[in-house]
Amino acid sequence: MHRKTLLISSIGAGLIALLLVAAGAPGTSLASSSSSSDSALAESFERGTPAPQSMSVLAFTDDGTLFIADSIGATIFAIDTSAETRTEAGPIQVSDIEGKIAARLGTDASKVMVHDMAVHPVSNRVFLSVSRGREQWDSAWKLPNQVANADILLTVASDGTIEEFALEDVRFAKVALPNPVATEKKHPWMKELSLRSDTITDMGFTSDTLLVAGLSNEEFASTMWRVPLPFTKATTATTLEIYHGAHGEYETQAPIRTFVPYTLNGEEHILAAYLCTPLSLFKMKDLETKDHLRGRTIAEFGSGNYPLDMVVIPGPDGERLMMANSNLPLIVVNAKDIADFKGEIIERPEEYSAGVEHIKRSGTGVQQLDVMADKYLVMLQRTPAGTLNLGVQEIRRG
Amino acid sequence: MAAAVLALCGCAARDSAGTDAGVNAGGNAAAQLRYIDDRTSESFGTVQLGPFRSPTAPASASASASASSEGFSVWTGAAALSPTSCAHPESQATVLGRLQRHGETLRFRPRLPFAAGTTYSACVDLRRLGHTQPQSQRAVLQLTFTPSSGAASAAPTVSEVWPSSSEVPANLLRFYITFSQPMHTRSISEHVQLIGTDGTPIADAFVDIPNGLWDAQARRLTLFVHPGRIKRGVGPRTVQGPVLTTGHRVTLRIERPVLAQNGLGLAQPFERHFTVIDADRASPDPTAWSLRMPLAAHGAVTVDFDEQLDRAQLMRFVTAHHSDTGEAIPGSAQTSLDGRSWSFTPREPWPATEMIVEVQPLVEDLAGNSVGRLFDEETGPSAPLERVSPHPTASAPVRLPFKVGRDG
Repeated sequence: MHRKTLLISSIGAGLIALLLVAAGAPGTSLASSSSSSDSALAESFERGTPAPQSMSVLAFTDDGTLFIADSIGATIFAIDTSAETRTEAGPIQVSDIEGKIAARLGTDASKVMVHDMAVHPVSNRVFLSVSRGREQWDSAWKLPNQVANADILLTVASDGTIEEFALEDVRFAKVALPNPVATEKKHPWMKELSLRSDTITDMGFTSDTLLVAGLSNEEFASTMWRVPLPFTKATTATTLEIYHGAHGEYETQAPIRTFVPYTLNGEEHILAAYLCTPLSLFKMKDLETKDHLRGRTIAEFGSGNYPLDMVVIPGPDGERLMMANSNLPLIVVNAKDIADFKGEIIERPEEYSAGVEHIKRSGTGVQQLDVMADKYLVMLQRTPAGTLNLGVQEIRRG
Repeated sequence: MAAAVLALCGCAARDSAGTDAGVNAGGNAAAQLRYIDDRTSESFGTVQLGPFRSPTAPASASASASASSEGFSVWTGAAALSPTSCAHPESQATVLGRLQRHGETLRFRPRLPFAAGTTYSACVDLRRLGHTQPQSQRAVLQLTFTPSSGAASAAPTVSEVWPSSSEVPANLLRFYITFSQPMHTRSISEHVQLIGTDGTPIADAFVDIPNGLWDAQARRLTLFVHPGRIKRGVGPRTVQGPVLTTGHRVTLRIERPVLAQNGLGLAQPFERHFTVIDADRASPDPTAWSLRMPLAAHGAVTVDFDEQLDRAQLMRFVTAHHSDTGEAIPGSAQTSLDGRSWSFTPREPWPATEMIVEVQPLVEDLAGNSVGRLFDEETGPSAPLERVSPHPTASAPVRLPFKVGRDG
């Protein structure tokens, strides 16, 4: 298929986006999360102690099955949380959450490291995977999972109470990820790092599938696994590549850092962001049928930055993609602009940012994002004082 | 659910060896609160209350009870507590952990180990714990402690591997690995391997038990060689073959990522080599066992076995009794390193009456054969009839009578 190619600056992209908006672009919608397959998954649960070696990524289905991705163990755990109490969503606010976790874990705040955050859809408690390894976090090029293994799962209630969600005697199922990156493989330029900590970098759901991004042991290591729900059918994998404008080359080794499944113009896609911050699109139906897939890079947001987390929230002008970053403020992209953007970046742009119009918002130091009850954007944010605060912003719709 | 981490558990029954030196069995000694900083102690890294006497707690505590709501609180930092109360002045949340009862002690073990050099505060309210105490005893006990760097920074070592012999039968059933200190039990199976003659790990050598099979102190790990590959004629052995083959040399290897509860890993990988000899297809033979009499009123009685028996089982299944009443004789038992003998030293001088060493028939040899039963019984039309029928003494304990000063 011939694909129209474009090399454009951010200003050009903005103009094109505006023109497309004016012309009236087709609508977009959120991909539905898994729910029909949840009951079938629950039937496969067995009681026991899951014992992940590293709680690298957390994610909930709509009705509250907790998925824990274990990079070191290359395993996905699905945990029953049906005993959570239904609780109204509220504007949770906990200042210096690392300090409060430290008190619970017998250490001081400087050692507490949050690896991932997910809000329970029923209890609205905030789940955090945590380690005591932050003292070793000595480089902006490293992510928590590359520094330590999260070994404890905590919950934060609306009143700030922190408890452990003990993974003992729980109902769960697990599935091993086929062909994960070998422990012996080293990071290309941080030689002390095993790539194993990037086996799983993010998870997302379609109606019947768990999508798992990370690194496999293939030559083209960047991979998206498709794990059918419930865990009864075989997992399939597609290796991925994208053109990364800031580096001026095709990337096959770097994993997706954060992604969301998203329906654009009636067609399911994956919206994925990478280190030094290209944003690329993959068609879901291609993922389902191909062993190797090249994404369409539609934006470059800037160098020296890890995209850390991504959510889609409603907004006054339709849905918006919100992205938290290690070295950039919050980035907001209107879904309509993504849907309308027909170009592809396949040459090094003149500036660090290019492609789809995006807005850099005032939120700096945001490390984790999730949505609570479609009402609040929940954030973990580093403050100028150096503390990490758990807080919310009410989602504006109109 | 979430709160279950702070569950109380009545673990007294599991501590059958009664090894806690801190237990003060006699009198009305006042309960004390202390931090166990001795890393050779099985209770290392815990805050311990003892002697603790309560007719109800903690076995009656519900699974959702938290340590602090039970009246046993630990905080990070030095808390400025009122001497008569366990209320933290700044309402700081308590350290996550678990209360366990071991005999007459109640131990708080933190969810993650206490850090060396960090100061902690502990407070117990004896009334809320249901402790029955002398009138003179204070109801609130408080402690501030700082784990020493020396204790908490010591790397764990493998202190013992069983079988201790360099030769093992091809149908060996289990290994015991004892570490120098309490270990993190998670994902242990990833890091313990049996390396074959060709230098590569033998796949599926051990039964995969999540978190491994540990004793209550998380110091001794039991590894079962996959029984499906030991028993002849069953699927896994037919497909994958046996784990151990006569004549081969195998290596039990423990990798460095294995962590102690103080957060430190093994200083170096541990290896122990074994030569595989013919399978052991015979039960232990009690007629070939011998009993050595105590030489003095305080001397030990010793039983020598015809082969190596499971040391952990010997500690559980061999006891000394009064012959007439059947009452157990208090004292301490030990086994030789290789499991070929068991001996027992009485606490009080031996009585002049007849006594009995009783061995439960459950005790197994290296291949899991017990006195009355072979682990891998031959069945089918070609099997000898006497093997198919249960051994006549299969369920009866082996009784070895003795009396001080009288030759057997």
